[in-house]
Amino acid sequence: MIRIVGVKRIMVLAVLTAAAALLFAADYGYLRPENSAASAELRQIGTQVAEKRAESDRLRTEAEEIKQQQVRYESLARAGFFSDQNRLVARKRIEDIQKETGVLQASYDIATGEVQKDQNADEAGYAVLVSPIRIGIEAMDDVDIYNFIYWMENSFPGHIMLDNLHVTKTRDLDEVSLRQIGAGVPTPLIKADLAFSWRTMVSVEKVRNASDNSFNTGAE
Amino acid sequence: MALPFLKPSRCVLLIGDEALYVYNVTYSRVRLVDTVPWQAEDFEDTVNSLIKKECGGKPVLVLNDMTDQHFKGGQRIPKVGVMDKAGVIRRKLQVAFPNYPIRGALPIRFGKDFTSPSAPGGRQMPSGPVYLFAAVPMSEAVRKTLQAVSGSMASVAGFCLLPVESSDMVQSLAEKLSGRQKGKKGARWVLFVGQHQNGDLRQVVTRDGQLAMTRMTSVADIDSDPAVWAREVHHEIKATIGYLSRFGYTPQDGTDLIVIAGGQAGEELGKAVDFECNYHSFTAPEAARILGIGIGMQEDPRHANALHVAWAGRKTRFILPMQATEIEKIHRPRQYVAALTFLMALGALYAAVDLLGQSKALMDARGGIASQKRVLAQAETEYQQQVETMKAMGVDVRLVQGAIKLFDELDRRRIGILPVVLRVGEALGNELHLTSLSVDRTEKGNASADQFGGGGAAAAGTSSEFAVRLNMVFPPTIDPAYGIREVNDLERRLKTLLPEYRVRVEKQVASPEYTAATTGIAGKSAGGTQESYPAELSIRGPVTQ
Repeated sequence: MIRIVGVKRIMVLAVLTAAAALLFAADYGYLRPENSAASAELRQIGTQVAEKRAESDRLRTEAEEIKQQQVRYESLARAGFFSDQNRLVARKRIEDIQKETGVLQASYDIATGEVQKDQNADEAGYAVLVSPIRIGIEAMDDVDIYNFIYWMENSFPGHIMLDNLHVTKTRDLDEVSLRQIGAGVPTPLIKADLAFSWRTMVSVEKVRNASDNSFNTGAE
Repeated sequence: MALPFLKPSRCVLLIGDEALYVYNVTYSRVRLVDTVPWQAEDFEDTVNSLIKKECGGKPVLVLNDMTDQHFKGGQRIPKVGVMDKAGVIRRKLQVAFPNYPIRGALPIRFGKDFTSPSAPGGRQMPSGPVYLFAAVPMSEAVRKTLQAVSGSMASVAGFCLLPVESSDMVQSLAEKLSGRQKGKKGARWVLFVGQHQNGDLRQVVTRDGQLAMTRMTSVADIDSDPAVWAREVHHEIKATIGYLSRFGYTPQDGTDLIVIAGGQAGEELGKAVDFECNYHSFTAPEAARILGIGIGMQEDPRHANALHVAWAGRKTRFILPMQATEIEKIHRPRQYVAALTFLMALGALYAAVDLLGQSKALMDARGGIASQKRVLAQAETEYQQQVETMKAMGVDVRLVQGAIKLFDELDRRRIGILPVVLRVGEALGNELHLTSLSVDRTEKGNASADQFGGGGAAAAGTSSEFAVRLNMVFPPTIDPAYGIREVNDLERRLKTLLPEYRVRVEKQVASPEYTAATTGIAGKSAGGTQESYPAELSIRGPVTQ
């Protein structure tokens, strides 16, 4: 066979076969796996870069927003929106409003606070504390009652929401009542029942610590 | 049209009766390397050396131009499957030429106007495939030639018969001469005459482009008197025409006579031709020019060898490649090795190209990784700067945003009662007084109140509303019609002052409807009717305005 084909041909074939084998081995044994690994690493780094940039952009945007919102946030904080609904403060504030508005009497009942879940508060690690307040007012003029509502809504710590109101004229302005008023005797002519919801944001940690004492945390 | 430089370059061994002619055929010229007589000492070594050194070991085409060539036309093969066809032809060839080991079969194509001299009507289309069988004996000359080829280690391009391989050259030459296009009808018969270097006259006759007959005879030397040469050649042509009549030749079919000769000899022959034909005479280089092939400078342009060799030597596909065990023994292994070498070269080339591509891709990827790592470091730095900025602000972003969002949401659900009460006061004026006023949160739609006392209505697809009920009592002394008018007027004023709310009289003064409860004292002692006239209006609207 070699005599017919020739040594030269056999040598050329052998060299070509060896070269092809070597090249394929280098290609498939080393370069392709390396390439796959490098491509995967490149993709991974690309993803990391994109994520990091997105995070930076988010922070940058938030920083801009926060700068604008910070003033309002501080105002809310000053207005007691993050208070833990201290009852002493509430009593003092109702007394102040009663004096300011001139209603004859304001009897109040602040019920036990309940913790309510809220998504906005949750994300910040806070919860919403809600306390129902019922106030019975006696006044000579219904305008005083509306003033009372105004000051409750605008000066009470946290957020106050009027749930219902019932105003009744208890007595007509007659000769007797006019005489009593003239004599300086407090004469109630109008009676009102008010129901408010008092809400503030408190940290979940604070709620957890206080749950054994003041707050009923079971409410959802 | 194939590009000339892509045509094969070969070593052509032309087997003549007296000697072997070794030609080197390139794309532009044909060179007679040497003539080696059969009786030469060291014949094989000489030819071997010529193939290797003078022809550069190119693939060898063995072209048989000996007298001893055998043909059998009109060999019909029974209709068999494609798989069995080769076997049947091989057996038929063996039967036809049992003593000649070098054989080949050429399928014959029949034109529409085919006529058979043996058919009574003159026209008969064969039913099965018909072949021209050809064979050559394994003469000493052929054996020596094959041994020389075997020893040269050059690959074998083929073993062919000169008249068969030149038949398409003859047809092409005739077409070019007559200016006809291929496939168009012209002279059916073409007779090509050319004297070879050894003095033999080779005649190739084609009918409808296919080999019909070939003759090799001895004539006067071309260097002799042109008139004598022309006379002898004319005599041979006439003999050939005579033979052709057996194959159905008639002058009416049209005949082209092409002669390779010197100018004067050609003219003499032209004068001598006495039958109806289109006569043409050229030297070999002139014929090559007409054919569009290059044969270069020839020692004697009157000889036709170079023309045949140039035509056959540059073919990519032969008309009738002859087959024999002796040839196969040399040809097959070399062909396999060549094919394997080609495949390996192709594989190595592919691998090399792919390797380069992969290397480039890897370098790009690594460059990209380095670049992306730098970008990542920058992004990390930017991120840390942003974090530091946020920390420096000293606020909890989520707390700030959550608190504001919650407060705004609560504010949207706050009942704006004070502006409504102010408008109610304006509407009442100085004359009318309320006995009671109540405000309650109601739900528009069927959603229940949520944790914020109805604030979830928005989320549930409903809106939170509140209702204000105004109660008043008219004294029994008034005319009920007056009371009704006052209430209606109050309703109208409220609607004007509170256009965005729905105002309605819930209970009219002295309402006669059965739904109304009525109390009072009737009788003289009671001083007339003592019933008072209560009335009630309602104002409804959304909590947020």
